[in-house]
Amino acid sequence: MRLLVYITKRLLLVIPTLIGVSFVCFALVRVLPGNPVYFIVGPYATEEEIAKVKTELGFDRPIPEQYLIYLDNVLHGDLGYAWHTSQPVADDIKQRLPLTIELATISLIITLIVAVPLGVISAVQRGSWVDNIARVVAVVGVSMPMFWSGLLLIYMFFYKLDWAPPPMGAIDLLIEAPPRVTGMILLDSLISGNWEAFGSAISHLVLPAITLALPMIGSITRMTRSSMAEVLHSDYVRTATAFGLPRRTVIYRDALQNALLPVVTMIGVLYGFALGGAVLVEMIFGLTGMGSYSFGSIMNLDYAGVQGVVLLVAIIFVIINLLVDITYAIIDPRISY
Amino acid sequence: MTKRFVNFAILVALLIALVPGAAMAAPPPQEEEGQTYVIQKDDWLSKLAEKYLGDVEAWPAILLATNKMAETDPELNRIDYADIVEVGWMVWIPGDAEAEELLAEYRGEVLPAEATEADPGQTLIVAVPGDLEGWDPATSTYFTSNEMIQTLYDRLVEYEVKEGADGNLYPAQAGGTVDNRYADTTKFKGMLAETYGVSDDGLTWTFNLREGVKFSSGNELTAADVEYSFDRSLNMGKGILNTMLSFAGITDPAQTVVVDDYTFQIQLEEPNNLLLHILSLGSNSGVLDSQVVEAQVTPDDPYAEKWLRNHVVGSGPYVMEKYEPGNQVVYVANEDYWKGAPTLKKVIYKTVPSAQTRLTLLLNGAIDIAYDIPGQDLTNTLNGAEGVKVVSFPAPSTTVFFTNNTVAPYDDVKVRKALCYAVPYEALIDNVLYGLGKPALGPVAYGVAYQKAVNECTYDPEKAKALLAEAGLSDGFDMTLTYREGRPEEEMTAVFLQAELANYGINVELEKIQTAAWSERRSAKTIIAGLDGYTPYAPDPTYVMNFWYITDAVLNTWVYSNPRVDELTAMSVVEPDPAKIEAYIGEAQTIIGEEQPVAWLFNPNWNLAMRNNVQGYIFYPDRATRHHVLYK
Repeated sequence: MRLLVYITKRLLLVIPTLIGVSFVCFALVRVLPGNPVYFIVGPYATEEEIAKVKTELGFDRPIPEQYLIYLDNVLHGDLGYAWHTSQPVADDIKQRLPLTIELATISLIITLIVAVPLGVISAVQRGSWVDNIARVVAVVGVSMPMFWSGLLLIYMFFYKLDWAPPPMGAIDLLIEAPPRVTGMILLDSLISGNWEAFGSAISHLVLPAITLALPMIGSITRMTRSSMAEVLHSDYVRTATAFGLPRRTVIYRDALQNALLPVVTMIGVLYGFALGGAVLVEMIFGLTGMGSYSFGSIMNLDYAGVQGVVLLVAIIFVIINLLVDITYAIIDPRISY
Repeated sequence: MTKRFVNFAILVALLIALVPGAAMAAPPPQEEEGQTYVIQKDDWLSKLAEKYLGDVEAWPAILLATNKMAETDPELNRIDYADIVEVGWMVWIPGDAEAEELLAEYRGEVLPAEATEADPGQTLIVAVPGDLEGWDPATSTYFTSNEMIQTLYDRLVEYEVKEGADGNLYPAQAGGTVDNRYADTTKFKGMLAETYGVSDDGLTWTFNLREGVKFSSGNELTAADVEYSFDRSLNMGKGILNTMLSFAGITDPAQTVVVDDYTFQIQLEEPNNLLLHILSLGSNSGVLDSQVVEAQVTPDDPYAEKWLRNHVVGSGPYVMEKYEPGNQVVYVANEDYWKGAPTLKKVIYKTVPSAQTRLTLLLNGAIDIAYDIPGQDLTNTLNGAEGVKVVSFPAPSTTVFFTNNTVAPYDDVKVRKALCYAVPYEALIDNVLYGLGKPALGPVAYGVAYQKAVNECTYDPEKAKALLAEAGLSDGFDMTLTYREGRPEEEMTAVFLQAELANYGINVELEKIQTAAWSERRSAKTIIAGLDGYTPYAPDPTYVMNFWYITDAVLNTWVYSNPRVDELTAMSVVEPDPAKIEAYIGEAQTIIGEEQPVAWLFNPNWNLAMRNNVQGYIFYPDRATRHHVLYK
């Protein structure tokens, strides 16, 4: 019950946060040099045409008034019209978010499978070969830029070995995508039992997911390792060991649970970033998710598009932070709300 | 992945088939003409191939032959899945000669897994770098959108095609046909207009429309649709088509007249040499289905602008099937196209933002055409690459280094001349274009009628220094050179110019700005020095003057003004006598050459990297690919 009250409180706090975010974003895009009207009318337009379109779009009004109109529209569920895709921003997000969720989730799963065990083992067996590998992986993962690792993976697995499909979209061009239910191709193909589409989608997502996972693996491995090492040196672990508890129990039951707390926070933050748009990964692999959308919106100075993306990312972070806090309460009995 | 799986399935099928096949008695004699065969229990295509053609691997010949015959002969069954044939089906076993032909045709390509899927041999996959910007012909100005519009809509007239250009960068590797066809921009032919003509006074143009041309909606295209398409733009009072129609002397809806269903007239106030060029513009002069568009009109949107941005209502060789913004556009052949159905049944435009990825996809064969491949890859990576060719045509494009002609010190023609003589032209062509371009001869580029060589500038540092001294600027000055983000060629040019101009004491600061900011400042004429380029879609010098060099030209970013040039341009547009046009527009070019409003850096080629088996390419001055003439 107390948890429910807490969640409600947190959710109520979201509203001023989002209004603040929307205001800052609204102001910032308008501070950028250039005006989207010139994009919309194209390079050949005359002065009169430009003035006409400015009036049509309301850009001739004072900025505070524009903001109030925008806010009013957003509160009515209208995020505006993205002229660079010629459709409402809400539709754009609906079409693109599922792919990004898929990509971010798969790479998070890869990260957790690789990074947490690697971090734990390297903390427990410090100085061993596993530890050395883990440290190399961490450094490489964190420091290798994604556009580089992505291109390397493409070169290796698509161009040289021909194992991976062409880095072009989320599914093979000649395979009919499954009927849209969730928008996530993997889920949709499972729902419709279309194994061919499922296989194709998986094979298209593996390389981008690994690319996106590499830096996350780096930081999570490091985080797990240091946090685990710290806990292993704490008094209660020594006490437990002194009481003669088996080492396995001490490590995996007592130490790991506490060591994971900061890791959970980190995972939350990284997942938020991945969802907010893995711009480079999506560009390199020709995926149409939120990353390429935010890039397109910014490059085309599509006010509505940029504002929509920022608002969405803000909401995602709020939700993730809330989930992280709730997870804390579950993992750590000392924390209650 | 799919290919691999299908391959594997076929392999398994083969192995299973081999066992009973081997136990068979001597194969029955093969008939030269081919024969029908009814599928029995435990029959496989490869088993039949072994039995009748003597080669297990010849199974595709049976499949292709059967499917071919099945189109005309209802007794035969179409084989949709290579590994599924049912008992009782009738298939066709081809004769040896035919089987060999079919196998050659098959060329190792695995058939699509599903019958509904397109045959890879009939699908064209094109990778483009950026998002697409909508499909309204009246307002489209972006290259990719223009290219799609010209393939989805038809115009009244079009250019003739001629042969003879050398369009292949690596002739030795072209393999198939040579890509030497290009638009003859001096000759027109009817497109939607079967015939057309002009009255003796040059004022009334009559277009006799082809009968029976259908829009993708099924409606017949009539003169009312033609009138609607132009009037819509005239009434909108904005958009590039509106501007271009005004160049052609059409400013009032009253000038467009429907005589009867198949006769359309344009009434001019004075003769106009640009009219046919403008009417042939693939990007903007397409004819819309007026009934469908009018049904989408709302009080807020009287011209259905929003709706037309992502809907297509044309009569062109292709019909839009699917548009996923930022991801792909798919269009399919219009089987009833009046010129005949296109050979390639499906065209897929994929957005692939990374140039490196586009290059890799092309090399691997996953795509057929890659746009915007950097010059160094065209000349190095793709040189000698297997299965790939590069077409490279001299385009009517011009890249310029401009200064605002009204701002000191650039208001002094000596300074503009000095800058012009200071440009290392050859080095730019070699290092920026990798040799894929030519020195510019003046404001009007190659392939444009009445082009006159008026560019006196060559790389001459002594002369540049002397001119600066004459202008009293021996000590140099500061310059901010503005160019756009996302244009690596302009960036390289800017760096070259910066280094070169430093020799004259000219301190160049580079300013890279976003396209939106660029457009706003260009419109406000506040770019003092910069890099820009232009390509006239209608290769006529008056078009070039009207857009870039007359006083009121919308793209006269250099704020150049000479009343005589304005006058000569206006005179050339309405002049019927070619000799006089040449004299007028020649004089205008000479004046511009003397006053040097900009330094013409070079004429870059239009380059397109494609797979070797893409044949039939024709170059047009608007640079858009005509998909319906392509085949594989």
